[in-house]
Amino acid sequence: MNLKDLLNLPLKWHLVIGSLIRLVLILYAEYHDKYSEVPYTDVDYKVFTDAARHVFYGKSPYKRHTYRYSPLIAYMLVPNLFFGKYFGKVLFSFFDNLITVSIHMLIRCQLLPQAKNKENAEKVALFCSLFWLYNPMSIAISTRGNADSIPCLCIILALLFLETHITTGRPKYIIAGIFLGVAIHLRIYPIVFSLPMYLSLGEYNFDRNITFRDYVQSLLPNERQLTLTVACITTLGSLTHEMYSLYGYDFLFETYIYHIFRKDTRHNFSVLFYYSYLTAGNVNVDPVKICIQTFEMIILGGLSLVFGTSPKTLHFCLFCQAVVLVAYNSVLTSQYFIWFLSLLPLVVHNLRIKPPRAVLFSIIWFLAQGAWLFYAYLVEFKSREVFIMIWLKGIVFFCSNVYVLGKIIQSFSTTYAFGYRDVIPIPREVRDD
Amino acid sequence: MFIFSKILIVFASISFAASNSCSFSVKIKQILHNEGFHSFFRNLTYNIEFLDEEDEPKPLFRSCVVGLDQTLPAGVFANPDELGDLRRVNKVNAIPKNPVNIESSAEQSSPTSVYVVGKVLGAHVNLWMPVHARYHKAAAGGGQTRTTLPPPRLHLKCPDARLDACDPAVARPVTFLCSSSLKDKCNWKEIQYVMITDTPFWDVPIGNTDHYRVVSIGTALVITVGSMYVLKAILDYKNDNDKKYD
Repeated sequence: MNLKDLLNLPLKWHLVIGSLIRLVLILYAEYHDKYSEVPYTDVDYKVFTDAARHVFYGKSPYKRHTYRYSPLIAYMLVPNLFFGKYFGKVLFSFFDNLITVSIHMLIRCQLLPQAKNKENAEKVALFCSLFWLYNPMSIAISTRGNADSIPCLCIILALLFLETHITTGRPKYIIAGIFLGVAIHLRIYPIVFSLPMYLSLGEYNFDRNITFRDYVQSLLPNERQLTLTVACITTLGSLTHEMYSLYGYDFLFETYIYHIFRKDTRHNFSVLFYYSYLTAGNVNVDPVKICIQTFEMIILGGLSLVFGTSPKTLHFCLFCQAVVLVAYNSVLTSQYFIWFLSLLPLVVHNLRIKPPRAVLFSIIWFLAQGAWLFYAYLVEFKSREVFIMIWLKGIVFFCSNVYVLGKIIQSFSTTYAFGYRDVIPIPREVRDD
Repeated sequence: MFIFSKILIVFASISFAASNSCSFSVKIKQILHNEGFHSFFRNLTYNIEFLDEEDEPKPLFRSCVVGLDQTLPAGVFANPDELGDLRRVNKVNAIPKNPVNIESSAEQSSPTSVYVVGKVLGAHVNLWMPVHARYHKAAAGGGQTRTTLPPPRLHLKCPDARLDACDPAVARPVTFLCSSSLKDKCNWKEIQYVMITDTPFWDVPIGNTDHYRVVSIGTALVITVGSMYVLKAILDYKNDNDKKYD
């Protein structure tokens, strides 16, 4: 069996292979953690288990110092105490499989109804889902015990309902709103996605011939937008109220407020790291922080207006926004990469990039990370004073993020579909695309 | 008469054992291993030996329990959750005495204490605990800052009355934890020892405030140029798209 045959296996076989790879790594982690000085398992996985122990004994999960997640994660990991420490990792790997199935379903539902060649449309959907399933970073993230695959699944499911006709009518927007609400409850960053999701349900007519009244009217929320908003706010409000009534201000602070005002002075990938370290404890107005936040807001708003106003480009908008959120974050660790990596399979078939260039962009991104990691190693494990080099490498990493993002935006085409010309019917006016 | 002489012998032997048990000659090697910020590599180890007058191992304290009270300066901490994990798998019996914020910098932290407990095997006991360094505030010139680890206080507790008759001047009675719970209190004797290693120290790199100007200007500039590049890419896409549909 050659690689082509392997890739063309039915999705269920890929899910089995993907699960086996993850199970092997979960077992390997046990061995690695026992004998290696640098553990494979994420430090937060122990935090989850400790928090689960607290909730099992009726205490607050926030009794575990550095537990900064929704209590739902701690509840989910209570079986860790009885079925062994692997349970959570297996659960997160299972969520990986659900993401794979959701990606497959989303792209299939988008392409199949209009595809001339159904077989090729199926292939595109399969390849995109495999892009997540076999992505070494997604495999590593879940098998190391990171819980971020859960909010990622919720975001993809919200997109699935918004961008396809898997359900129709009001339930479509209610379900999408519920998933978005859960995602925001679990990890606050998807709140940014609510604007493009909302905008994508509007009907805009910005023709210069329309009257001002029509223009204003097109900006007023329609029934679909109101349904999505109410469902999202109700879900988020109910979960937040319930958790607040159980765990009080600790829940609000650790789950939300801490992340909003987080200023970590310990070395991390962020372009702001060394600046934050040098200005730690300084309470004056921070011009650099204001600069980065202003640009971040402008870019997020621009992406919402350009790509977020149509269901056809909504997934791309969310992907770009996730990259911006990560690149501009004041604290950045590798676990944040999953924010955009989980959305990349939804857009990868729309990127008109030749494979060698795609490889080149990947190399640029990984090399920038590698250079940073080398100097971080010198600081962390060798106590060498190389903070200025970490800053420079953070700058390089930021540049590589925005450069690759720019190239991705330039290459985005809703009619590309991995170059299969018979999958998406190309309108006459964009044939030269 | 026989009974009387027997009582006398027992009393004399207890007195002898007690007086012998109270002549302490203890030597400790306190070593901070490896380098870096974290306990993947950094362990604080204690090699404690009970010796006789000729510096030979003295197994008189077999099955007694040693309790070290180690003060950690603000620049160093032991992670209570990590210690809890190690206690659960019986790798380490170390209990933090105070709450510890593992994320704060050295300047925002206070010294903390950790009890490290272990049983005497023969005439010696080896104890260890994982420790971490905190970030320090940046300073002009950067470089490294040094944190020295003070010697611990040594306590001894025996399952029998061996130490009861000791002179408080050589074995001061102290009450603190029994094993792994801070709630239960036991009676211990604080005893003197000789530290045979140099005071361990920890050199941690610190940021250089002289870099402030170049870092703030450089960061702001890169963010501005990078953002302009992304905004241009978005705008170009929009213009291209508008042209196609015009």
